[in-house]
Order: sequence, then C-alpha cells, then structure tokens
Amino acid sequence: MPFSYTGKILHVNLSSGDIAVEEPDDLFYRRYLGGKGFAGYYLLKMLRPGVDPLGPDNVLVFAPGLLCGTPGPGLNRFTVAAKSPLSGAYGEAEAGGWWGPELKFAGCDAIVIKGRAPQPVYLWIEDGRAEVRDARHLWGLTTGEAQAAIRQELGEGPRKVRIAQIGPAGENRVRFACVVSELRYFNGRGGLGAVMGSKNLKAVAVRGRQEPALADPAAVLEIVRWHAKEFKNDPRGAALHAAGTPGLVAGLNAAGLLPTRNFQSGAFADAAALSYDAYQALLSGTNTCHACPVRCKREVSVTGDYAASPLYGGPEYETIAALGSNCGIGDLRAVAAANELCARYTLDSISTGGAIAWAMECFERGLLTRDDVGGLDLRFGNAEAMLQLVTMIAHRQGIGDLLAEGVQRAAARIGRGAEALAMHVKGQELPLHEPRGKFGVGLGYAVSETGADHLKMVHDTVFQTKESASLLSAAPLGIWEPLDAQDASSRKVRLYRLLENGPALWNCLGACFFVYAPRGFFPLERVPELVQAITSWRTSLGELWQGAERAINLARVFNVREGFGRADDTLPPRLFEPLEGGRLQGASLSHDEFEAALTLLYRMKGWDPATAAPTPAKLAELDIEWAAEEM
Amino acid sequence: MIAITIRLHGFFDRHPPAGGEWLSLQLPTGARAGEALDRLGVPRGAVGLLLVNGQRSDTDTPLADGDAVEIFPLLGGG
Repeated sequence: MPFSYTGKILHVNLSSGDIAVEEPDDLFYRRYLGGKGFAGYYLLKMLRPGVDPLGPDNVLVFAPGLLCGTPGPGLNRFTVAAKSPLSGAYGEAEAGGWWGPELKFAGCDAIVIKGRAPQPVYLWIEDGRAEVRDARHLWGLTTGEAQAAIRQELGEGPRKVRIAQIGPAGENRVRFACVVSELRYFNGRGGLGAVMGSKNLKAVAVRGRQEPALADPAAVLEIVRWHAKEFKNDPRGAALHAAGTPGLVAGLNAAGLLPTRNFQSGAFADAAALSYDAYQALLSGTNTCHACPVRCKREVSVTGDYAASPLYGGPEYETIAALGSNCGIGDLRAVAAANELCARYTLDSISTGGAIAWAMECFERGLLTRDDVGGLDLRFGNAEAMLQLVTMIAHRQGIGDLLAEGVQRAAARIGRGAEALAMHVKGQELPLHEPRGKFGVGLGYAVSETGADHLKMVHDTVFQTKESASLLSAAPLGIWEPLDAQDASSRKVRLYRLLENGPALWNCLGACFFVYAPRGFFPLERVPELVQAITSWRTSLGELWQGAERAINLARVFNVREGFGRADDTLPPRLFEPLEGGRLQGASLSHDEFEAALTLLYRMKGWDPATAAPTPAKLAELDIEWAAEEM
Repeated sequence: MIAITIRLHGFFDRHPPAGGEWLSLQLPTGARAGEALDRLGVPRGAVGLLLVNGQRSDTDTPLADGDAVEIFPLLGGG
C-alpha cells in the first residue's frame, strides 16, 4: 500500500461524460512526484501542439503535490495546469488552503480533464466517487453565491465540502481569470479559470474522509512538533506569522523596490497608507492553510464607501502593490475592496493590476482617451476608476473587454508605442517585484515557462548579508557567501541555478515556499528525512532536487514544442531604462549583462543557448528521454 | 563613547521601533555595526541589508562618532 498518495488518478472527458481511473505504478510517483511534475507529464502526453487554449482539446490538470494532505509543515498546496490562454505556453498555478488535501482525502492524486461539457456542469468527488452535475443554475453567479448554493445542494455543513471554482471572469474567458477555492485561495496565474470557463466547468467540489497513510507516523509527528515550536524563533517564520506578506510593503518601499505607477518608479509617496500599520486597522483575523502553524493569511473587514468581507480573506502583498502602488493608489480600503471583487469574479489580482496600471499610463500619455475608457478619469491614483475597471474586466464591458485580453494583446491592438508600456513576459503581467533591484528575480521572470513569475528563485535580497538566516540555511546547496541583490555576474547566475529547483520541488511536493528554506524556516537538510518519514522512500536532497529539475524540463519541452525559443525568454524594455525615484533612482538593467547571464544559465542547465531547449543529454540525465521526441 | 544614529526600515518582528525614524545610540568607542543591532535586540539573521552612511556594510564594520546606520529586513518576496 502506498504512503502519502492514493495511487489513483481520475480522468474526466467532459464532452462524453466518461470518467476513468488510472492507477500508475509506484515508480511513476517517484519519477514525477505530483503537482507540477504531474502537470508537465500530462500536458506533454495528452495535448497536441498548437491547440486552442480555450478549445475542447486543451487539457486541464488538478494535482495536489505528493505530500499534500499529510500533517507535515505547510504540506497543503495543489497545482492547476493547462495550456495558458494568456501566454499560449505552459500554464501552471499553485494554491494552498484546504482543497488539495481534501482531494487526497477523497482518494484521488490528480484529476485530468479534457473536452467541453455541452452545458455548464460541476464535478463532485466524494470518497472515490465522481459525478458530473448540472451547473446551469450556477452559471453567472459570483463565487460566494455559487459556493453557498453548491454546499446547500450537496447537503453538507458549511465547512465540509471544499470547492475550487470560477466566477464570471472565468465564464467570460478573461485571459487572466483565476481559480479560487474557499473564496480566498487562488491558483492565480495564467488564465486557468478561463480554461475552466471554456470547458463549461463551473466548479470541482470535493469531500473525503480518508487521510493519507504515513510510513512512520511517530517520526512525522516529531518533525511537526519540532517545527511548530521552533519556527517562531527564526526571523523568517516570526515575520510571516506576525505580519503576513503585507509586512513587506514598507521595507520594499524604503529599499526602492516597490513597483509604482506601472513600474515607472520603485518608491511610492503614499506607501505608509498601504503598509503593515494601515493593514492592522482593517484586520479582522488571521487564517491558515492545512497543517500550517505559520498562519500568514490575513482577513480584513471594511465597511463604508469601500466594503470588504472577511469571507474573501484579505489582500496579500502582491495584490496591495498591484492594485495599490502600481496604480498609484494609496488607499488600503480601496485595495481591500478590489481584492474582494477579484475573488468574487475570479480575476488574478496581479494581472488585473497590471492591466489597469498599463491603461492608466496609456491614458496619461494620451494613447487612450476619455471616450476610449467610457468617460473614466483614468489617471494614476483614481481608486474609483480602478474599482470600476475591475468589474468591467470581469464582465468584458467597454474598455474592460480589451484589458481582459491582457496587456500584450491590448497593446498590440492600440499600437502607437503602447507596447513599450506593457509590462509582461510571454504575455503574463509582471508580479510586483523590481528586477532592476533584484537581478535573479529578473532572470526568473525571463526564463519562467509560465511567463513572468516571482517564485522561480528565493529573492536576491535575502542573500546580501553574511549572517542572514536565509543565506546560512542555503549552505547545504553550496551557497556560502553573500551577494549583492543587483549583482548580474556569473556568481548571480550560479546562485539562481542552485536555487531554482527549490520552488519547483515545493510545487511537486505540495509544500509552501514560505515554510521551507531558504525563504522559510524548515531546514533543507531535514527535507529528505520528512519525505522518508511520510513515504518510506530512502531519499536524498539530490534525488528530490533532480525530480524538480525533471518537472522544469518537462514544462520547457512543452514550450519548445509550442514554438517558444530564446527570444521569448526576455524582459520588457522598461527594465533596461533607469528607475525614477527612490533608493534605486537611476538603476537599470544592461542588455549585454542580461544576455550574457541568460547564455550562461542555459549552459549550466544543460540547455542549448541558441534555442533555449534542453539538450538530449540533459533529458537522458533526468530519465525522460521520451520527452526529446516531443520537440 | 561614540554617538550614532540608526534607522530600521520596514517590518522587524518584536523589535521596536520600526517606523523608519532615526534613533540615537551611545556605543563604546571602537564598536562595530553589529553591536548597534544587539543593543536594539534585532537578530543579525533578520537583517537583509545593512548600510553605514549609505554604503553597503556588515556587522563587522567599525563605527565612528556621527555614523548613520540603516537596516532593512529580509525582503523575501511572495
């Protein structure tokens, strides 16, 4: 009997209504792990190159990580993946919370969905049984309404059925619509909610009663207790516990790293109004995910002109910067209201903020007129206009229909220099981290298979001092000396290369980036011990790191097969121009340094620097030679 | 003794005050930057960037009368 996984993968054809169960062998799990690893495997195996991401031939994968749902620290995350309608490339997004664990409790390690239902449906999975149910009465409802309706008709108490779903933005195929579970945990990026919408799939509701078996329950319990006692004595765990990600705002602003007015500046005059102290005034509680004592999640309660209910959680750092500083808005109440709208409609708040910030700059530069934007005064800082645009995007009304296409397509549509203002990589809007002050983060944006993504490596900013808790915890990887965040030399490329398999591994295991070193407290050298206690596998960081690299390479092969190459691993032109204002005033990236770093990184990764494709030797090393035939 | 000023930027858990205001500290002659952190109770592992008079420095950097120390937390992204 397997430990930690159930041995069953559900295949659902929404066109025919057929449901089948695949039972892979143990080696399949050891090779592909789960989560991100499963996503790469199934998208390569089941998708034909060139399919319409919003057509019935796209394949949608829901996959908890290998260890998701066990009691190990922060083991709660699941992947949603498909060909992305935003980028046309490999699309993958993770979320924590409770849905991933519940799917494991229901006896299922992943769901692979193809086809398109003839009419709106939702999927109901309970203790190993799966059923496609009518959702015509749910179509058009916002997420809060749909969650209540589904829970009522399934006859369960309010907290028992876990529901991953889309709201109107997904139904309307907004290219950056997300998937939300429990109204507050987002598989945010890449438009996977639009893929659900295109398949007429409103929701996946799950209920399970069988927790995963553990190989050595006493050893797991010892690790869980140790972590719960120790994490708060570490500055990384302590800060996340005390402030969550909103605690980052003030420090990033002081460091000149807070994206402001569509990345024109790294410092925002009203940052204090978005920071921790302002957040405390709105805070109604903290929250957490399955098996996590860190409790970094926040809930807010706002009444008055701008309203936000704690049912939808509270804005994270990314949302605060995306819809706050990057839109020039210094009003946390407006940001909280926008966060709730994004959750009700299922809009990715990063891309939504990016699209609105781009439109605001176009408006200020005369590329969009008042007539173009429905009479809105779309200058930076107009919170009312920002909130109206969120709703217009979700419903594809007026200018919202253009912005719902993402900044790359929208800029191409209006032309006249608007492309130079479009902050994206591979069509995906930039997260709220400034590569002109964090070179490694910029490399990650560029090479990320999903388009700009801020979690490809642990950020450069935590490796700058010799006593940094993050630096010291990275020693088992061969990272021993501090390095400046803006350094763009071969030493930075080495840092990136040594770190990049970490976040990919967490996405294969279902582990949280915030809990595991070097970003979080849980030490890397105890990870193999934890995996062995849960799975019984005799393993090592080496085996696990290679598993993560396998998953990255599968995603890369997918993109090569879709026609992506080195020219797509790039950054928006603005990042090569000087930052205005703040501590990094005047900082810019150098084209020569960036291209040299990319070439070196490809060589370190075993990829051809001309094509950015994995070499046959690399794929052989990773025991996925079959993938070479896909390119 | 020397008199220095120190400023904590951003969120430092449990180590007041972190409002970005300058504080004055008296330290023994020959003190290094790390001693200023110790005096405020800021763990060295929590510091992501340390500046003395605007220059990137570390906890071993000797301080002189009138120096201005700035520290930033670990800004780990997410």
